[in-house]
Amino acid sequence: MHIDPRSSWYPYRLVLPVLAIELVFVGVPLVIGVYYSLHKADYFQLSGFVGLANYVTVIQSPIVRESLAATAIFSVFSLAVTFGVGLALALYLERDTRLHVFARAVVLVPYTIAMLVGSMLLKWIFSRDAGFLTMALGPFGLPDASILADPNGAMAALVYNAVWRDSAFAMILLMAGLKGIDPQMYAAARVDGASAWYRFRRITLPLLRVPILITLIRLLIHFVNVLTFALILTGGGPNNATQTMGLAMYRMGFVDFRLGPANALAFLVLLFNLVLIAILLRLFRQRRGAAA
Amino acid sequence: MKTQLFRLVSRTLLATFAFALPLSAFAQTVVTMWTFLDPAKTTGREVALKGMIDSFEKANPGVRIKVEPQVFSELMAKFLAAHNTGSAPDIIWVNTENMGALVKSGAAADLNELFLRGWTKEQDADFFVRAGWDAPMAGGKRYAVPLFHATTSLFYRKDQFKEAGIDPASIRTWDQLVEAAKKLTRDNDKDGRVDIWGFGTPLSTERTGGTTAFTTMLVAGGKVWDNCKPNYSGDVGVRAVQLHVDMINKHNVMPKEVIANHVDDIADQFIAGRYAIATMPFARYSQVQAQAKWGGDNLGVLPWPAWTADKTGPQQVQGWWAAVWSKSKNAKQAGAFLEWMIGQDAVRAWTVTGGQVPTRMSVWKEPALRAPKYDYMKAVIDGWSTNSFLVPTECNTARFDADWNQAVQRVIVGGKTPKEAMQEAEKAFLARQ
Repeated sequence: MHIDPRSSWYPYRLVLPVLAIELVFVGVPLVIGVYYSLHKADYFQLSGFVGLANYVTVIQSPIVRESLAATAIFSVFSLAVTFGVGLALALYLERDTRLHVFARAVVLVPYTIAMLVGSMLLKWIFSRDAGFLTMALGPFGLPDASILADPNGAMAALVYNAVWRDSAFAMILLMAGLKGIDPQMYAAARVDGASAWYRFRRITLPLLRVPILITLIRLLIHFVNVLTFALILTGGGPNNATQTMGLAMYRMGFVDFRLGPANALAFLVLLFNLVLIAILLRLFRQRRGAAA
Repeated sequence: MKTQLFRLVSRTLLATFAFALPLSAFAQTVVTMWTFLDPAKTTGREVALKGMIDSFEKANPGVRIKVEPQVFSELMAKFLAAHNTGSAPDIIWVNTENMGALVKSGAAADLNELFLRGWTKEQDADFFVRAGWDAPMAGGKRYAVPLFHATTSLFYRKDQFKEAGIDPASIRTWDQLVEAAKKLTRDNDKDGRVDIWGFGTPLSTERTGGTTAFTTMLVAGGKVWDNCKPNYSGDVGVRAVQLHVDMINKHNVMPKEVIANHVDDIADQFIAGRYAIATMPFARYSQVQAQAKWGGDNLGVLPWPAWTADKTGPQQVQGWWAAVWSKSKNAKQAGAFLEWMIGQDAVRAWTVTGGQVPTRMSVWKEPALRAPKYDYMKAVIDGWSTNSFLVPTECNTARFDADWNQAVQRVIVGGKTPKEAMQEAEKAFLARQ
């Protein structure tokens, strides 16, 4: 069927296939998930409509409240440090000399390792009695601490895992943005006597606005929902200090076989994601308004 | 023209029939089975399973067993999801942790109807680990049969005991175990860091797999569950939590890091020589023996201590069972293969080739199993025969031991009292019912 590109239907026709895919792979599971969340669904079997009871159970659950706090701490610290490191790497490794290209490849290594394997490696490094870190730092008289058995230490290890793996991802996105900035703008600024900091503040940052926004949103969604780091590195402990919402949801659904509350939590996490993204977008709009 | 057409059609039909006849003669019933073992691999249990499949197919030429290996931790979740969508395998393997889920889900067929009704009393009684044999029963129906049992054991190093002058037989109570662990905890190079810890047990909330010492402590103290209502926060539960906490904070015989360690971590470190006594799945005996740098001959198994010295602590029954899917179209053949997998020849194969403790007393009494290399099984069989225990399969017991481990964590790093921590564990258990 041919539609005239000037027709008002033409844009809809272009978008339709993608919408159909979204509907099948996102919309339908979402609807099924919401449907399950309104039913008693133990052992994958629906056995009665319970209304919002699963949502009440989830909201009143101390474990869910703990996991919300753990997710917030993990996401905020991981996002700040990963973004900072990613931006620094992107700025430093932007040039295409042999050394910089080689360094980029090295930085990318953690990102190419499977999440599960990477977290297992880090677990051994942080292990007190058999860990590389203790062996390496022991002779220097550093405290004989058990990192993973301490709630703050375990959270720090979890954030380290995220930064170690995902900084390269942030670097790639931001570097793509940097490559799109016309070098002549920097040359003109230099001629006008602008310092490096001034060039960064007045040229780089404003022109990186969209890549920064995409990077922040992408990383935020990833950190709020990630399961592997907590599951493998810390097991959610100690004392649930690192049990993120993703891990709580996984355990509720696939270990305890309580699909109703697990789906209710999943839906609440989706809303939580949307609220975070809305806040982020609003902050960017405000800044753009202030800059204008 | 009509005659030609008739000939063509009749010859085509004849030819089709001629081809179809031998094909139908070879048509087989394919029985699918989900297990964590892969018969194409070479570990003892996998070789044993392969042998059973081959011999069964030889004896039943019309049936083919198709194994679809699964990750064991995902086995039950996938099976229940498949049951819900009508695409589950004919046979499913289930472990202790998920037995309650299987029984409650209605996804398993009644094996009395399939083959057990014809059994004699002697055949039934031959399965001497009664807690394991009776576990999958509910409402007069039997939903699974045991393939091989497992348990959690206290492994110890004979060389360390000898060096510390400790007689293993002298450890009858938990207090005696703590005293022994104090003597066994050592800083050999005097650098201020402990080199060998006296005792190790996994206290992480991930991959606990029934490996904590809690089970024996609680069960030895009375009824832990009553009609799926937990009784953790009584005197015995509080004492059990306090003992774990004291071993870390007061007696310094166990590192604080055990709260971040799961069963594999403890096993690896025991093999590496970091612990003198450690709780571990008994199935790891041969692995530890083969890999321990301190010499496999130095590996021993202690009976479980109790709170008082009058008798040993209960030996927990774990393991793997097999069930037939309730909607299986090949239930008869699937049942026949289940019966084959628990027959005398199969139990012998699980034991001799697979290294598992036999489920049938008649097999254990065979002269071939009197060889010294099977002596290590005796401690477990004695434990099961005198004081065995299995978690209630009518309840959702998923993560029950993770709740106890969490209670220790709550006390050590969360500032709760043992009673408060155990009350939280009770609530967590109840929420899953």
